[in-house]
Amino acid sequence: MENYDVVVIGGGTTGTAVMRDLVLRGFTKSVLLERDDLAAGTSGGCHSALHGGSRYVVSDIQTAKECLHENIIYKKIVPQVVDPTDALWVARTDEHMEYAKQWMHNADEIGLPYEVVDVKETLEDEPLLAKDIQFAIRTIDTGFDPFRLCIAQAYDAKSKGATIKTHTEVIGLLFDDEDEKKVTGVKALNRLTNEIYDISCKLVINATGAWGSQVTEMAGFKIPVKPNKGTMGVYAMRPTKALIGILRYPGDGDGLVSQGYQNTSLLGTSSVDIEDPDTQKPGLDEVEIMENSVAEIIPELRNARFIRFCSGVRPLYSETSETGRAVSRRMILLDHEQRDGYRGLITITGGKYATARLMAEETVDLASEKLVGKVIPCTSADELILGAITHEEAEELAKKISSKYHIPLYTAHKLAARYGSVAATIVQDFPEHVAVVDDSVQIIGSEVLYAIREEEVGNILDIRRRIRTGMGQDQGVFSTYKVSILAKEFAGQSVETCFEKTIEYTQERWKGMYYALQYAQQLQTATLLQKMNVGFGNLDCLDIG
Amino acid sequence: MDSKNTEILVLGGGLAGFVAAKTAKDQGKDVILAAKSGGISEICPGAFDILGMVPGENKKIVVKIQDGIKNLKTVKPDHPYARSNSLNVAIEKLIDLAKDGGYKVSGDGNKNVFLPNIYGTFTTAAYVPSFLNAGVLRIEKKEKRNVLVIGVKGHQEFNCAHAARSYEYVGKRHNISDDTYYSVDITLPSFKNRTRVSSAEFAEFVDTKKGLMELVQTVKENVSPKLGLDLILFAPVLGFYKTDEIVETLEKATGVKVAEVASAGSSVVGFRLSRALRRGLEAHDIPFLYGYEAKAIRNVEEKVEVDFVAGATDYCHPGQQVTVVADKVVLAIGGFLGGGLSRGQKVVKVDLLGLDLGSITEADVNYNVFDSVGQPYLNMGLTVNENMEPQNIGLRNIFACGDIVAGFDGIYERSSAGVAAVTAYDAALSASR
Repeated sequence: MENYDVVVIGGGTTGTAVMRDLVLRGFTKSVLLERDDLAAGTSGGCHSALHGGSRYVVSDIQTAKECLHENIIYKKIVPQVVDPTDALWVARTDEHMEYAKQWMHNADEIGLPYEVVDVKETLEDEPLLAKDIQFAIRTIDTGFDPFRLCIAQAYDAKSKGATIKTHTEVIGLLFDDEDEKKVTGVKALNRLTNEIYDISCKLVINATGAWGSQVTEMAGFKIPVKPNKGTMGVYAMRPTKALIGILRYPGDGDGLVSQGYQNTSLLGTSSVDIEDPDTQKPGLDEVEIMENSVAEIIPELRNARFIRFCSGVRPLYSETSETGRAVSRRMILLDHEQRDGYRGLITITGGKYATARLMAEETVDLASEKLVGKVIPCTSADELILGAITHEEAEELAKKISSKYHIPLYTAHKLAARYGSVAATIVQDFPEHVAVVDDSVQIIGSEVLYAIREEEVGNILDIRRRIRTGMGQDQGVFSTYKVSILAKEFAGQSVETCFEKTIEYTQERWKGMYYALQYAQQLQTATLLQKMNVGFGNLDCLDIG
Repeated sequence: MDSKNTEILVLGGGLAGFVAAKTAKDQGKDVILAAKSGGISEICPGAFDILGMVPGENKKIVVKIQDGIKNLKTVKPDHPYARSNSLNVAIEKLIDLAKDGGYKVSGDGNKNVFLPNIYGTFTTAAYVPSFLNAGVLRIEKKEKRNVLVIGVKGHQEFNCAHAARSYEYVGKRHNISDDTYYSVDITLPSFKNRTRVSSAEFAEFVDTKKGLMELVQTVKENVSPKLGLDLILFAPVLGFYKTDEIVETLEKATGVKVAEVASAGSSVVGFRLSRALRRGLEAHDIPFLYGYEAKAIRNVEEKVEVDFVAGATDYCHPGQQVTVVADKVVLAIGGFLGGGLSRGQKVVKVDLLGLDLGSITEADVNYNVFDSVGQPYLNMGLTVNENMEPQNIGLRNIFACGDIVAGFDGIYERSSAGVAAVTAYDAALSASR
């Protein structure tokens, strides 16, 4: 039986942040168990805004304070996943102007940095904004890459001694023979091999977010986690450079965000209570409401092409009957020994991506007390996350890589920006594969191989979260087969597996386009995908009649 | 404002447009062909498909085309193949036009053959251009050949090692090929420091004397007589203009037959076909207005007027405005790929006609990306009567052919070229009456 001090369940931003913090405090005998892939759940379906507090400064000032604090920290410790822009919050109507006054008052109270900018200059800088904007504020929110942040946190922990196991599902808890309320480990299922085995530990940290109650129910009790879905639409361009938001009470369709050095943008968010976090799908009505909303400040928005729609499920927590937006986004730390009489199990849920580091800090404070009787000091706000370098250092690295490996400067710039110092390792270790294999996102072959070697990938969907292959305007039409072949050659897979994985990933890309097709704008790309794979390639069927 | 007059104006630069123009000319009419571009033909693999598959629960690749068409007619009684008897003569028009432009195509139109492609699988086709010919696989006449698959370093579109293993595996598993495949990646000295070279750059290079010499020399160095080769399959980069010459030179130098692998989305290969069709038109004195985008169409008494914007346009260059007046107009403006069917907000439109074809619902799209019945929306387009005239468009003397026409799915049926040809032939005949 495998033996650890801590088992963390859930490979989203909370679980990976907890792992990182555990390891920084010396608890290296920890293992992360994730049933699918890192960021495959809520963390991969979020609006990707690294909040600075602007959105909540009127409605939830406590959360705003936390976001402000964490925004500055993230930009310092993991700049490589953060979009190098800032935010513009605009007011158009009198209602917006009233709200703006309240906004500024509260912002001053909590020390949220902002600048009231000249409207005329702003309109010159962002020509697609509505011409009748009355007022605009520039502040510190920005976008980030939610996949790469999770992944960076996880591999930061791994590089310091922890174990990361993806495609490993917890199917039961283990209890002490003498004491049926003492959790002593978990029963794990390896979903790639179908092997079931036990892992023993001193403490189980349930960081499964919207699925939180499924874990506690393995001990026999529920927790009031309410799954709440948000739908997003991905546009094939960035109508604005900055993150854009509307100065009004948070509602559906507040703005546009870009995921760190990307040329696409996300329309979000909505809020719909649902029953089952595993069967949710994007809501087209929600998309319509959101687009109408943002179109008030970006009038030509409807001309932008939707590439795909996706959705994510928030873990809202409520001991009362509140639902939807009224439920606090506050983080919830549950000590089940105190609350339910079960030792060896704690749950961290609720919260926001932008405050995950803080959630992890509070969680590991509690874990530390339980494991060694005292709180070992937390350093996660100061330690840099694997690969972190400043934007200037990234530009220098890009120039070096471009000239040494004969790749275009633009490609090298994106590589260095997204991986930080790890970019150097990627090209050094795989110098023969530095050619671009996905033009829309500027990915080089070496990244594919690095991901396979270092970052626990089971299929191309996993590779995609690490390197963003197929996430650009062409949705993998020209790149999926190239990535798949490269993966197969490196991992020594069979031809059959290679085609299986290509089709599996093409299906995954299609799943997002499927909804966007009803908006009609993505029909040309979708048809090109069909023409290439089916019309020209016969990838759908080779059985002869 | 420039203005021209003609009897038949054909809009659209894909296969359908060219066949329509030639057919009308052969009927003794004055014809002009005008197009924004060559559409999907500019990136096609260069072979012609008549019918590769009948979409349905147990879909299988069609080998005997006539049997397949019979089957298709029962499943889709309104299919263009069901509504016409002109398939053979229409295909001949297409083949002859291409030949007149220097593009030789062969096949018997009754059996599909298989072509090894860039993915490592096999493409089906009825008619095959010269540069793919040596690589053709016939189901009923399987040989056991020794084949060398050659890739070029820097060419990211084709992985020859994967392809060789894949052809062998897929070939045996699906009973398509009994050949043994070897592979080698060659490095052309002029590109030895490059990590990525596009198909276009390679093609341009081997079109030159120096490039061809380097290519032949490098290939010879890598082809060992010990292998007893019957065939060389090459990455699809063998020139824009001189492909036949290049293939011949390689065959002479190595003593082995040479063919490219079938491409997908290659502008090099697409160029060869598009250029040949243009030259074919020239040989028959049919003017082709290339780069002319039709913006508006209207009836003026019994005639049809079409407004074009010509030339490359941007914010500073509005382009030249030209109007063509014709007795009849044949629309071969393409579907979703060619641009005839445009995407609006939730609604599919035919912009040129100001027509709204309705919205796409869940019933029109299948969640399974490679569904056995295909993607229903691919059948969308203009409904035409027995004279190939679109219905309910509020315009007279208009005919339609090719991908813009409803009732067929050229992708899942693998029938694009055949349908383009037959609908174009019929539309042009009607327009010429």
